[in-house]
Amino acid sequence: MLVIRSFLLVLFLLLSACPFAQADSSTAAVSDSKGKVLVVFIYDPHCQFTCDKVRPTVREVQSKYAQSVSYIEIDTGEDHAAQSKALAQKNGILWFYNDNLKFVPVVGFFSPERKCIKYLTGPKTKGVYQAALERAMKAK
Amino acid sequence: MIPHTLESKPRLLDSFRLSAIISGTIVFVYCLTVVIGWYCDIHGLKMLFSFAVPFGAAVSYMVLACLVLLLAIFPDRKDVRFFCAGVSLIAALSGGFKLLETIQEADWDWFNLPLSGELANGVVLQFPGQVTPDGTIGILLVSTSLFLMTLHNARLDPLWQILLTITGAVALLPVVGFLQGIPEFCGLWGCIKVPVTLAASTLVLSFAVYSLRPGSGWFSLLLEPDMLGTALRRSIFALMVLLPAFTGLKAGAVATHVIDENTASPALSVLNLVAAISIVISQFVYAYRREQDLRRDTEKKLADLSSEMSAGTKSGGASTNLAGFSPRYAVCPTCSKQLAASVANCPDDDSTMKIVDKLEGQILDGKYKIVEFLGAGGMSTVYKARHIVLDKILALKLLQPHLLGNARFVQRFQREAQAMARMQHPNLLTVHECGFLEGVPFLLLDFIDGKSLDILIAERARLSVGQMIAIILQVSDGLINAHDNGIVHRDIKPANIMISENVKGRELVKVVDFGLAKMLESEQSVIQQKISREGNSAGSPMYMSPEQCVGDPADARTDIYALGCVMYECLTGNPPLFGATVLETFNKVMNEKPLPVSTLVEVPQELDELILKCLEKKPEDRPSSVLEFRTALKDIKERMSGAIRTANMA
Repeated sequence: MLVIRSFLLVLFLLLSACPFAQADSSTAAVSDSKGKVLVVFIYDPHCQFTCDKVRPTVREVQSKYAQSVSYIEIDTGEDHAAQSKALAQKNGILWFYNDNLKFVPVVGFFSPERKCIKYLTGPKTKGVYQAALERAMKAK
Repeated sequence: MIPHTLESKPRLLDSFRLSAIISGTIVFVYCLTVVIGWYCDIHGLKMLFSFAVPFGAAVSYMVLACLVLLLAIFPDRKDVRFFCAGVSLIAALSGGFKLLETIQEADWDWFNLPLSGELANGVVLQFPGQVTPDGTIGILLVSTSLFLMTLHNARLDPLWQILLTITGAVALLPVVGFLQGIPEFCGLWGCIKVPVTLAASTLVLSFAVYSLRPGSGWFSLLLEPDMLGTALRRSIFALMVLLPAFTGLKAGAVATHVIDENTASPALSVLNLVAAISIVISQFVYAYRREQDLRRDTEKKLADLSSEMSAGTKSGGASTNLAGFSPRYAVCPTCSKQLAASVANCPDDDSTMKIVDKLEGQILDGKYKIVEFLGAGGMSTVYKARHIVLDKILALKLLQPHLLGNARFVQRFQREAQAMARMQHPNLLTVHECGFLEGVPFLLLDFIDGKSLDILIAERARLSVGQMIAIILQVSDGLINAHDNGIVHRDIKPANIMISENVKGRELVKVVDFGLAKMLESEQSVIQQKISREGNSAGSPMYMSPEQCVGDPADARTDIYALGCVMYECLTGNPPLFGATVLETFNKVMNEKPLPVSTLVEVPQELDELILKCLEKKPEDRPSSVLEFRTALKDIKERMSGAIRTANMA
């Protein structure tokens, strides 16, 4: 009985605290990158060690397929919040930005239809990023 | 090891269990909400309180919280414990693999278990999936601690407790940082933002795991009724209450512009630190002073008692002078030499000494006529006496004269009187009066016209299963009453089980000698500790439980162990484990398993198992209460009766 009461009380408190923001349904305007595989690197300016480690690797990997891949970097810093959100929305990945802005560095790989093929949290080797990108390219 | 007062300890244990349930529920509901958010793609739920928790971490924490709840609700169920051990091991392994994957900067997709189909955005929710390093470490440490804890192995206790302490301390950092308005931690490698809800969940879960077994390992310090335990408990409680209060005050001061956060923040942090240290020190000082006061109070009581005893001795009649010397001595029938009662043969002519008791035939305090000597133990002598006024035969128990100068034994004697006065049960002795006779503490008890169980066993070599069960069921009834009154006997043995006949001519069993009984009142704790510190291993070695042998606290299960020994001896003629010396016996009790009774005599298998269960080394493996034990024994008796009836009918 005590457990059930505690459960309901905590659930009520949690739901009271929930802002119930609507999920982004990925129907936002599609950017110029339409028709291309999209690689998104989400970072925070304060996250120097891991983010700075990921950035050159991802840039190098995507540059090999520059013709068919569109690449964007999104800054989650508070100073750029509005611009970053707008950029994410423009590319149809606002949900991805919202879900991952606290888990930087994150790299997302999207099909031309903006379906998330793979996302990777934290630094990975070049091979891992390359494999994820090739998977996204095959998905088209 | 300082023994606990058993009344306060179960209360504390219950409080910790309740804390585990509440903490587990909080984490479970929180993580469940987040998981629902991930499944239903509701951003508000995923980012509850504006702090995100990765899906894999939320699932892991939800499962771990569920295990904590199971263990807290069913603390004695072995199957639940094994299940939780298995699941927590899987969680620990997944955390370990995930950490290895992070370190290797690899992507082991094969290791992720899909927990959903493809969602609208193309994402498949996986376990553990993409978990941040802080989440991975949290899962690994908490689940490993939980796994080790469920093993109930005393050697592993320090390990899981250290792991849990590290986990809690690391998780506390971001929580305190958040409360102090420091959302990120910066160092040479840049800054990291640890999601405070994840850290708080780790902290709460660590506390919940700890609360499941607070009495084990060095965590048991928190349960100690002494100065250290009290100070620790008070310090933690004070910090838990006051630090958030300071934070609230600071936020209020910033909001009302009383202080400027940017300029005053470092000073306020230092102030908080000073306040925290002051809280801890003040609690230790307070606890120390309280212990000193208690000690002075106890010493005063003992001094008063000593004065009372001296006054009693002075005012007592010169006829017997109970307090002056032993009333019993040995006389040589050949040379009339008088020696101590313990001397069996005359050293001059080797004649068998005759015991003379000066008290026999004497009238004490004008109302108790000593009829005959019944027996003597290390602490007391028992006489059959007639209450002249009431014309009733009773048993008069006197403290051994040589122990009169020792306030501890006087206290222990009084404790027995107090323990017995609290209990009224046909299977327990009734105390009619207690006080001082010529300065000697005495107890006036029921006189039992029967024999003790050890004599019965010696006479019959062994008892039948039916006889044994009939006796033990009555002993259990008496013990249930004692335990319900908060008293553990601690010295159950055949010599302390008296068998007589009631008015209807039926066998009546009484449990006697509560001299080592453990009183549970908090005000008794200091006196009791003083006594028990030197008497930690009090009891009769062959019937002492492993926890008594090492001086660990005794509880109801200690009496259950002794009951197992008595049952064993009733059926086989010997205690389950005994050696040539006390040390050898202790060693066997601690390390050897007794032979099943069925290897020595024919007994029903359930009875054999019940006796072995009572004789388990770990208290938690024995029946949890005498009531549970009695129910099992009664069932066995009824099955046996049923089998006999069926056989007769056939």
